Amino acid sequence: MAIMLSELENDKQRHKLNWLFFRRALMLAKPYWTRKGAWKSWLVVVFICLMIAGFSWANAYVVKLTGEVTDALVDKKSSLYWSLFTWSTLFGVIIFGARVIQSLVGALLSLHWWRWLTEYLIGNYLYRQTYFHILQDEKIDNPDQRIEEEVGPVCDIIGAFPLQVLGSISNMGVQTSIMVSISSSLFFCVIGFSIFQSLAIYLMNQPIIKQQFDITVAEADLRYGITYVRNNAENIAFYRGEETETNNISARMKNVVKKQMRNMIYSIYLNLMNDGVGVVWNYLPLIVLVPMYFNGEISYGTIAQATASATLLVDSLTVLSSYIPQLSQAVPHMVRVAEIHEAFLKLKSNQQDPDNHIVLKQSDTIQLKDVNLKTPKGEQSLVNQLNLQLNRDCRLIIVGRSGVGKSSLLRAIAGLWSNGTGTISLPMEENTCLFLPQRPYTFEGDLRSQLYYPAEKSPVNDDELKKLLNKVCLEDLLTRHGSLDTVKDWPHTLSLGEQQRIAFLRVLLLKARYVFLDESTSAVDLPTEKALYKLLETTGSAWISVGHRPSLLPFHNQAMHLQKGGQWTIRSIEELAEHEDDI
Amino acid sequence: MPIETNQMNDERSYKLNRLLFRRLYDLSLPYWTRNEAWKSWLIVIMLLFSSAAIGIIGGYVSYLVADYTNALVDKNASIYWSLMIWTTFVVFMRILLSSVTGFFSSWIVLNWRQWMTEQITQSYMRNRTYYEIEQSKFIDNPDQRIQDEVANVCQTIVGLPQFVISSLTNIAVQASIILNVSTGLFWFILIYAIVNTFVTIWIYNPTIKLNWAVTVAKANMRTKLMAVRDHAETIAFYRGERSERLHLNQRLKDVMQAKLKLMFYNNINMSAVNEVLSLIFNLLPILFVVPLYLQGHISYGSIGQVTAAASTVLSGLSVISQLIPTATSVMPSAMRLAEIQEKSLALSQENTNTNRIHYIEGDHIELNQINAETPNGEQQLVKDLTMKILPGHHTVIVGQTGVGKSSLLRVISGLWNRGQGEVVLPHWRQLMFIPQQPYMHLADLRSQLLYPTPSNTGSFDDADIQEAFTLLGHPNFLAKHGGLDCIKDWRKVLSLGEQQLIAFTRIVLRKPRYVFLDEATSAMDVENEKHVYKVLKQLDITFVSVGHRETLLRFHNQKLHLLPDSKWQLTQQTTLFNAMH
Repeated sequence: MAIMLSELENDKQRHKLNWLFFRRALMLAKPYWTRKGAWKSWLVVVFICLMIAGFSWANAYVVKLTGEVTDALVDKKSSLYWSLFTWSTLFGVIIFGARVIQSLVGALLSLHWWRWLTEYLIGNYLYRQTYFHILQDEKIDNPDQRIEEEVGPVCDIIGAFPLQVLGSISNMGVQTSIMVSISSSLFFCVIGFSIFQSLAIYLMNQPIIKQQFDITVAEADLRYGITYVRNNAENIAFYRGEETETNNISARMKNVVKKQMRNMIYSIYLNLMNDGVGVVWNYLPLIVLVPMYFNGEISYGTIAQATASATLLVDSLTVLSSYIPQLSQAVPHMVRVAEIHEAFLKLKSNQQDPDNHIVLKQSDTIQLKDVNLKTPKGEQSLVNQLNLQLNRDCRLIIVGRSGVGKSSLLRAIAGLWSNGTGTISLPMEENTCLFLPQRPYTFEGDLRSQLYYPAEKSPVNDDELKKLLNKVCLEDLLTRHGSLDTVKDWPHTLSLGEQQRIAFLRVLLLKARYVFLDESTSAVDLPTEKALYKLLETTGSAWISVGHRPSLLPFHNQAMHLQKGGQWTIRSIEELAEHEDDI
Repeated sequence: MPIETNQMNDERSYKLNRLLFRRLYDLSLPYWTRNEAWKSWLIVIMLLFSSAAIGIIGGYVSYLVADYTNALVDKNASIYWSLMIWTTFVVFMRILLSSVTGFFSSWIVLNWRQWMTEQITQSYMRNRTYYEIEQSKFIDNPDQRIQDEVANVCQTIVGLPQFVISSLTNIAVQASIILNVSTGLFWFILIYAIVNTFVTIWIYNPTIKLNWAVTVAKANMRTKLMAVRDHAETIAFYRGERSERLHLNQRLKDVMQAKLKLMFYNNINMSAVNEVLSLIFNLLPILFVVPLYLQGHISYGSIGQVTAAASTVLSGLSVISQLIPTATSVMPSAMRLAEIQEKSLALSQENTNTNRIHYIEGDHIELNQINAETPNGEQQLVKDLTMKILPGHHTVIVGQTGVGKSSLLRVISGLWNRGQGEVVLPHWRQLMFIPQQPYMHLADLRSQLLYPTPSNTGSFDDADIQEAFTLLGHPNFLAKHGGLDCIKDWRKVLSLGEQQLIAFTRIVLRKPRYVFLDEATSAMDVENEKHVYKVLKQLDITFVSVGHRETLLRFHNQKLHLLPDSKWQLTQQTTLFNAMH
């Protein structure tokens, strides 16, 4: 069985630590750091930088102290030793206090940024129909996982960069001057080896990026597979498809294992190199300085001092160069987050190919002119040269065989599908057109919010809502489920018929100029259907239905018959009633 | 807002207690007692030996370091250099051993994770646990648990023995060093370690609940995000983005608050306590050892050696206190996984008490005196329902919306079984239930059609599938959609009518004796509908339909009308079906 996994684009560019990466980092960092209240964040950053500078100075001081303390110890100068020891302990405590403050402030800033960026991305994802187009294109896998999991690492890595780099550079400056004063040959050795180490680390980390990427996607796919079972529990239970589903999940798990193994094997080499290098660093100063000591040029304390200084210098260099593996681990995260942002930017700027794109225009009534509609990937032609005028009082029903493209025509009018040519003019202001899709939509939350969806709050008070519930034949809903505040898993609690009636309630609340009903009464019985359509009449809206049932015909004054290959004809209701088989 | 679960309030779950260890034990046992377990045991033993070896080599290295430091202070060049070279070699060997150990450690964790994931998935699927969990909502985000928490648990449990062994080895080695120098120091360190342990336990306890709150909040946000993904087209039609955004931001806020609490606790309370403790244990050795040196009892090299030894012993003795952060991080995970296992076990052991409908295997379908209720008992669906569905007696179930037609199918299939009475039906392999919402599997087209039979069992070949489509009047379906190996997101690519057609193809392939159709032709046009029912009749499949359309009635011989207040009415009708064709 071949399971459906996210396709990984075989784009080499994505996996490199290159210019594109840094440009994306900038693009993602910019919004937060240039927002309205950004000066506060900048203030915090300045504060942290000052503290870092302070720590560098403190480190230099500690190095000097180390030399003195060691010399005192070797020379067995008790009183001097103990007073120096007390002082350095005290100093250590002060430094600790400062570090707590710095780390707290840093963590708060980081958290604030994380939240802001996640909210920003959610805004991008939900801007107009970005989420829909992202899903259609299928180039961006698991957007939910990206928003929830990847933003954190991105903030960490961008945030750490200036602080770590700054801290390291200032430390390096200070320690370098100390070391030069001790021994210039040691200094050159250290610098030479660091350059070699950084290069080696950079090269060895390149393959890791792609591996981390693959692992992230595999894990997200595994998660999605299990969630899918969860969301379709009843269907699977009815079908008794447990064995197949288990196989599916196992296959996804195997995929994760495969990707992890690759990474693990490569890591052996990486670890060997890192540890080996660490050992060299421990002995380097000794190799250079000990001969000098044996020759009597320097005291033992100086060795300790130089060792301490070299350690600090090396720490800084290590931080800097270990930043590279960290960066490379961050590349997948960065890419995955940036892709959502880029999709949003693309949609916003509306880059489309005019020759192959249906144009939407603002107008008071709905008009389709020379519309040719194809499926998004162009495989099928659904509608040919459609010319249709829908006035404010129209009541159209679209009929045709299953799969011929009726729902797709609605998608085109709603702006979801646009592969084709022609112009569709329609009112585009808020709430002028309401589309009721074929699958009714309810979600986890309180009952009240199901009723006024998609508005963000109810336009009428509770009593009005209750009256509307009665009108759409849902009187017993409140008695069965409590009150409008009751929170339940509505998609799994309400029957399909009840959800469809709620959809009609939404129509009554919204009072749109045009209402598009895609099989919106397929699960309600005939008397209810009649009542609901009668209610529609009271709203003064024009409506366009898609449906099969002959019972729908009396509510419309015009019909469009869509046939395979894109042919369409306008018929009168009487004509259609005679040829029932065509519906 | 997300649904509150009872679990959040159950205090017992947060403590480091016997329940936790028992759960960990239950989770771990299967992998380590399976057939091929000896391989895993072998690797683990090897790992433990490695850890011990690394500890011992470490002790040896510290002696070497002391010796060459002394040589340095005494300006003994030749001894110094030879010791240095030898030490470097030993250190490199140790690193090599470490790397290899690390690899095998990761390998066993991965292997175990894969095994445990499959095991828990099977528990999740067995006895329809997944369905029951969704119904009762007692266990939140089971998908997150299976994908995320298993890795955590395996990692911790595998890491632990190695950690303990290496610590114990270190203690033994280093303690001997200290004892040689100062017994006072040794006893002081021991007392100190015990105090340290208790303080650590006390300080880590609150983090369990805080960590858990973060995990649940994040999972809730993820669920909502996935819901947007799954309903993208619907939401797009509704232009409901702003409303969705509102809900998502609310969930984001919940995550933020949970993270803040944890962060404050970590940064202030915990780091302060940890710093004080580590300050003491850095100072302690010096306070003991330096006076000895100043008085001339020990050499300079010994100071370094002893201070190093003391810290090693301290960290080794504090094994338990180091165990605690690890255990606290694994605790919520182990619990969340154990809950799924326990639920599955409970369902398989459910005894038939008086409030359950009995299911008996028989030749045909019979309902005897069925009083059925919703799973929570709030509503009665039907009272004293008695009817028979003999082969060829096609039945249609009608009634007002919401009266319980789909629910009756759930009762017959066994999904809902609260109530009294008896249901007689053939073995489940001879039945098929087609739910109201067409179900598309995430796989290639072939698996889609063979569902629920796994596609590798070889019971049907491609020719059979094509024949099924031809029989149903759509010979070009496969060609139109790219062939049997094509993998797509079929929920989006196929229209609702086409998805319903797939359901019928599944029926035609499996040829069950009885099939239950819940509005399974609602998106098909009347002609298609007539055709598929004709095919079912041709294949001698008895069907029970739930539906509204008048067009359905003519295919059936028997009509069950469900009325409000649990009443029902059964009427036989002479079939008009043959008259139509």
